[in-house]
Amino acid sequence: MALNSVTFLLFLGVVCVVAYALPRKIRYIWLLVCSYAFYLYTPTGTLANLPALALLVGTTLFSYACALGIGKCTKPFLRRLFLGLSLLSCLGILFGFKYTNFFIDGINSLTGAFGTASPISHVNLLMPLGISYYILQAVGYTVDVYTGTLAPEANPIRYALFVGFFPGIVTGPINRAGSMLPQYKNPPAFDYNRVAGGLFRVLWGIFKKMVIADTIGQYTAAVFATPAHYAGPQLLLAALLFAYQLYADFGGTCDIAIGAAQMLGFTFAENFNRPFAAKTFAGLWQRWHISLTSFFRETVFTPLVWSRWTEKIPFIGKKFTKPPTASSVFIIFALSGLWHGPHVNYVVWGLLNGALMVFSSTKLNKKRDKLAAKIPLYRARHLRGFCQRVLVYLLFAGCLVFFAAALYQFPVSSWAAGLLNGWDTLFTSFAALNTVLGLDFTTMLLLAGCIVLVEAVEKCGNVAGWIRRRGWFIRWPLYILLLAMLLVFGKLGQSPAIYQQY
Amino acid sequence: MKLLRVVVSRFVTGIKIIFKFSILLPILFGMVWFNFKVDRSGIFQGERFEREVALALLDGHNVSGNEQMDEREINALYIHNLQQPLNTVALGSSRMLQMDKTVAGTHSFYNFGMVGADFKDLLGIFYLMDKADKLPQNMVIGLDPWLLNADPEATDSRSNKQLYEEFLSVKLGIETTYQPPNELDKYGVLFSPSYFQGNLEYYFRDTMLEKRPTIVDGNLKGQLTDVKCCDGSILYNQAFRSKTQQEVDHAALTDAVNFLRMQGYQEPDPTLCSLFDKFICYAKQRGVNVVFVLVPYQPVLYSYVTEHAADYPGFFKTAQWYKNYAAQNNIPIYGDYNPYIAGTWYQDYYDGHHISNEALGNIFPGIRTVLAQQKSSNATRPWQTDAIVPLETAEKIVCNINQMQPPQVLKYKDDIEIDGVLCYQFLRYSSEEEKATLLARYAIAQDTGVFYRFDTNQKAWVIDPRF
Repeated sequence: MALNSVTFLLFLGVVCVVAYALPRKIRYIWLLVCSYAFYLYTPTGTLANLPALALLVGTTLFSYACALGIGKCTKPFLRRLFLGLSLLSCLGILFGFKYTNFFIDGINSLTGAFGTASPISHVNLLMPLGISYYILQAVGYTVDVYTGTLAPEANPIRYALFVGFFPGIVTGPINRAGSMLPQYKNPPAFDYNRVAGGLFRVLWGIFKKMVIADTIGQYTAAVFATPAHYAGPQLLLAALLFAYQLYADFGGTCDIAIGAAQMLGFTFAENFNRPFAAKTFAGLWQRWHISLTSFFRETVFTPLVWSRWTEKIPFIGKKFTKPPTASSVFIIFALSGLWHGPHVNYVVWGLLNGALMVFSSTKLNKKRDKLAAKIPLYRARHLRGFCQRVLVYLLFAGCLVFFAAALYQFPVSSWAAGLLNGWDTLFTSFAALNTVLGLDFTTMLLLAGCIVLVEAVEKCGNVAGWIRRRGWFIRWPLYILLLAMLLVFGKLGQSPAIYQQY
Repeated sequence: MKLLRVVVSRFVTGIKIIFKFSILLPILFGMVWFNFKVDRSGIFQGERFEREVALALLDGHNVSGNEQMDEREINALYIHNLQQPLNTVALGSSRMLQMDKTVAGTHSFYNFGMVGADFKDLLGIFYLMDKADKLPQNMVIGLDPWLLNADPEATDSRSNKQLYEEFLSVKLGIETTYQPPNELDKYGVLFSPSYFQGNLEYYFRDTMLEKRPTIVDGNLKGQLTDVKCCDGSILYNQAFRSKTQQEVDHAALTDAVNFLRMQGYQEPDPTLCSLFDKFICYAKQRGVNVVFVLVPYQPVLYSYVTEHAADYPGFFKTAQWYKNYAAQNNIPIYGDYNPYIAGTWYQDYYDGHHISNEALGNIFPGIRTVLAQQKSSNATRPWQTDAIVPLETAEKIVCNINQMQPPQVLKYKDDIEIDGVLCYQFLRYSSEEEKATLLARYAIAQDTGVFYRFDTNQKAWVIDPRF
């Protein structure tokens, strides 16, 4: 069930009404039933998702039992054993469904290079919906229990709700058990402002997804499907727009999930915080896919840095005297790239981002200071901020070409090869600009207007809270404007959320 | 008390939420209204172009570009938008489309003829009028020979099978495969945002690009395309109407070789005959006065078909069946497929199938005359004349084929029988004088107009190869 579908909105409405009609103590049972029904749903009404549901239930029960084992045992060996079992099963499932064919390809190319063996054939596995999200939630929970941050949850149904809660299972955000389990235990009473705010956030998310992301998506999908057929300006524009498309798509879907959870009385982790307002590359990553980066930071980066693993490398380890921050950044970005999918371009995208993160935090600050000293204009606050934001956006969009290449299955070389062509006719006339770019004036105007609206509103903070603080004369025209925009310009039934496939 | 307070509080909250949602209802209503009015798929209003044509016709305008119109859709929309039932309507194929209000003899007239109309079309258009409660007082049906041909090849792919089956099921009580449409599906589309977006695009962009109906204000007869007149009749384009006789004859011969929907047709299908009977009975029962017209074929075509009569048995049998049916049911019938019997001549046609407006006017006397003849206490039925080629027409045939050179003369001698067929016998003399030489003897069959010549070598009558 797509989060931006009418079916989902109707489903959410029914779940909401019944949830608030039930006593708070048993509300989580109803929510779990609904979550599994959501997971099981197919438009044709078949039970095709039953194996995926069985896997979700199996993962939930096994990680639950392991966490109980960790909590009950005092011997470090047994605790590690349970942790190992839980991680092995969870990551094994993720690996099995997501990366088996990727590694088979790797093995085949290695063996093929030596001409030794016949190629191993691919395994035909359909990846269950949301596996990357719920597995990480389960892993995060087990790790938290192991480190003692969290006591193991005794109620299996409540834990199952944490792993499989329907608003977040499609595209996240990846929530931490420490934040969610207490909420499920003590769900709040009905609060009109909370529900109305959540509903507005759902509408806001749908607007971002269907008006902005899908409008850009029509253009970028066409260009990236056959980059060789497009001229340089179009290829460049597609790359620049793709960054915002990805933000509007993923951010919009997260807004729907967070809004839906808020309607039901729960607060999900935020996943985005105006990423393109960041003035540094590191700042952008503090605002982009926050739940995943913080998950990797807490479960991988921090242990790696504190373990000073570089010092343990034979022969050269003694040369490293500082904590291995930069190398750990590389590792988590490579992992982040790999998490997105079994494709080399995702890994390259991750490594490029890692490199820019390291570079921006060490080298660029000095460069910027030197530049400011030489050019007084650069010291003007807004101009400097604007230049920084533009630079960060360009770098981020440049890296995303590899991401798009993996997503749309095109060779980056064909995109790069066409980049220099077709610039001669670009500025001859406005009509030529339209023709060369392949986007008509109305669409460009619409996109610009929508982006300005989104950035302006989100600058004021959490949109759900912001809208409730506004008077009716702002609220209602905005509701009507968003609905009208959605009706007129929304790309209805066009595409699922990009991050749904991860 | 606490429980009551909770229930009341929740009820008030529910009402409050419903009220707030209802503020957004105008958007929904606006969308529904726009979907209904624009209706790009023509679910409620019909196709936009055809809708505009139908409205223009109802406003009394003539519209050019008939070739590009969906006549069936226009007819349906014409009935849909018609305010009052008409006095007289005409049904049939393009062969009937030359019947205008002058020929019909009333201003309250519309010709629902359609190119290639088949049996389903006739019943379908009648059913539309019936459903809309706009049945006319008089219905002139142009009976084409293929109507009773059950061969699927003899039907038109454009005819509305569903409407036809609905009529049979709903009105005639005949079991068919017709299933009543799900109205919920139909009206559900009004609430579809996707349909709304399609309508927006259609309204603001497609309407600027698509063809528009062209209303003819000036020279009606000088149009380069066919004109759909406000009475439903067709005025063919100038080029089509200005063909030379040689071109018309050639077209007729081409039509004859590929005689429309008559290939392999043996006899009228009993089921279709029965349905036809039920349809006519139902129409009469609903108070509609039914009149038949057999639009004649061009002489070249008809001569060809007569010569190859063995190949087209169904054609002649159908003509006879119609005549018999009309006689048995006391339905006025005018015209004949035989152009000679109908009193028409070569130049009265545009091609093998299509007669001119003037010639059709000579066949059909107008609805007032028909009604007067029907009401006449005189037992004679003017439409029930013996179907024979008039003597004058027979003389025309002989003169036309032989091109009499003065002072040669042709004289009718008497009626003779050739192979059991009664014929007019003509003698051709070298001059008017009493002692003039007899040059040739000819005979014209009174039933079919077949032209015979007396072969002096064989001393027998033979069909003249020039016929």
